[in-house]
Amino acid sequence: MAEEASSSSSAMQEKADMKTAQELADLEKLSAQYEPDVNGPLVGELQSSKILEAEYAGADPVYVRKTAALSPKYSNYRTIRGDGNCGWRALAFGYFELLLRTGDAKVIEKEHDRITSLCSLLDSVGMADYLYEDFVDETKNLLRTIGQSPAIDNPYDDKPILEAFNNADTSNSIITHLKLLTSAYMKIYPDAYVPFLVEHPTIDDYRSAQIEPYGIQIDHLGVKALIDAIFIPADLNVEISYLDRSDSDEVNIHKFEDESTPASAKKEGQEQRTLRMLYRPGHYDLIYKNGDLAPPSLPISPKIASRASPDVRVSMMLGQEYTRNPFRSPSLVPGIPNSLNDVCGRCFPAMRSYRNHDGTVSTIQRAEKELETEAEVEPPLQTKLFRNSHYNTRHFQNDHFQPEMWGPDQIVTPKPRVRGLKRAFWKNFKH
Amino acid sequence: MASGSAALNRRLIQELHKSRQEDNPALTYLSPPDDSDLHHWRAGLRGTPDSPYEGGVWDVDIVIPDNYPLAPPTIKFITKICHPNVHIKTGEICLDLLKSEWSAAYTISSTMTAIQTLLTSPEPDSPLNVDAASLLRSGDTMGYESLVRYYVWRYARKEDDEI
Repeated sequence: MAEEASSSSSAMQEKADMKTAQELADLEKLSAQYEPDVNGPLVGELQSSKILEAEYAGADPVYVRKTAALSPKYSNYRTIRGDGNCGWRALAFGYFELLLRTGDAKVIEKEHDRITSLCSLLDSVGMADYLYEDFVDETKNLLRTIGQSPAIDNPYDDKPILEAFNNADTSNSIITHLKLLTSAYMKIYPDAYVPFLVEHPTIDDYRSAQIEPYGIQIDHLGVKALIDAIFIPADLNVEISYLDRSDSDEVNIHKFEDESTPASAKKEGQEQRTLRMLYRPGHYDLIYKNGDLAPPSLPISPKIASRASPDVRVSMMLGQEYTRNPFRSPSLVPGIPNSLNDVCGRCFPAMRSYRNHDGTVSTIQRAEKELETEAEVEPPLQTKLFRNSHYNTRHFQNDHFQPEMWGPDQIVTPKPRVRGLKRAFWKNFKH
Repeated sequence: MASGSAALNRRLIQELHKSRQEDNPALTYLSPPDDSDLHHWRAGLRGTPDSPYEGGVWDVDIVIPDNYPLAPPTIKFITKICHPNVHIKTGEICLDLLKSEWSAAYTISSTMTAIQTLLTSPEPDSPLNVDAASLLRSGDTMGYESLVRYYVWRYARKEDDEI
């Protein structure tokens, strides 16, 4: 009897196990099919990095500390769509952006030739040319576009690259090209990567599982290989800032640099040629330092300046931060008097010294005077973000907290109500 | 979008052209059944020599998505086949290459070679045909192989008939 009971209970147990196994399999299937809702552009416009601070305002204190420390150093931020390709897309976008920012057509032309010659890398791992040529063509087309006028005349205008990268076909083709190149590079120079393989027994397994498939997130080893293959030979650097819950007050920065050149031999301007990625567990975006987006003085291209008046040369000193690339809209220069009245204009209080070559007073100079008088009257500009942040001494969390004081003389007496007067006036006509 | 589909058609035509130049030993034929639709191909897959599948030929249906080669083709067996990783009724195939490990470096022809390799290296741990997989998992190779041979004899076209 007892035996029978135990056998039936074990059968029941088995049944229950089977059920949970089935449930597990169903759950596994669901999770395998799960695709997060991704939205937003493939590559976003430049934004102020204050947005990051606001995003994490209510989060873990570690994130609040780190994002607060981030925004003074890194003025701008660019989102990349989180579709599993963000690391690849961020690196690809940054590659073109850095090249365009050199403003040197020769550098870009050299890079175009190098990319063309790298096809031999693909041939040497046994890829047929008809399999890769469509992808290579997209990369080369974009290099040609940014290496020519009008793109090359405005090296800080990201529009041509932004447009290309928000076209899914172009964007994905360029990513695929970089994936194939990285994969081939790892096959040909495996020594640097094999010691770091964890899950995959061979470099070929790793390449076919982690590098080549579309939509598979790039990992650290992949980033290293892509930088070795593409960025370092082009004399471009990459650094990644890790925004995670590790115990520190600032983001941890990892620099990928050419290890073969000693630090003393580094050329000047390396800061300008550095792509900065922001890594939050599972996702990459781009961030920019204050100096990345425009040099201290930048001559406006003659084409745009000529719209204002024949011989005006404008040199602009840029302020510490701005939320939008001011060079995007050419109307900024001819329309300076107007733009002084909007927020964008006020963000550049350092706009000075506009001189016509013949020394005459231009409309711009007049506008400048207007700005100065305006500045005397108005208190220093405060953005809403600054006012509500703890950098403001009026914020209770500031170390030097100083509450706003009101004196009796500052109380503004309300103006007499006009409507009451009117009523009194009409009273005379009653009856 | 227009440029994308033009690039896709160009690639497919090139793949077709190449597969006609270099015969794939795994296939008896590979081409679109209807010349006007390049996105739909058919192939005849040969059973691997020296395996229980030897001598059989299976018709396989290949549907190519608009974002090919970024996304993999959808491949199904039309002819019934007994294999742990192929659904016996729908012909659906469970293979990493057709899902997470797909890459633009593959072609339709090389994918078919990979499917032929799958015939002789089944993964009984992720089965679509549980009966075949459990035979294999329990170590009954003889039972498994004779079941496969039965299905080859019963359903597959025979290589000798083709000639």
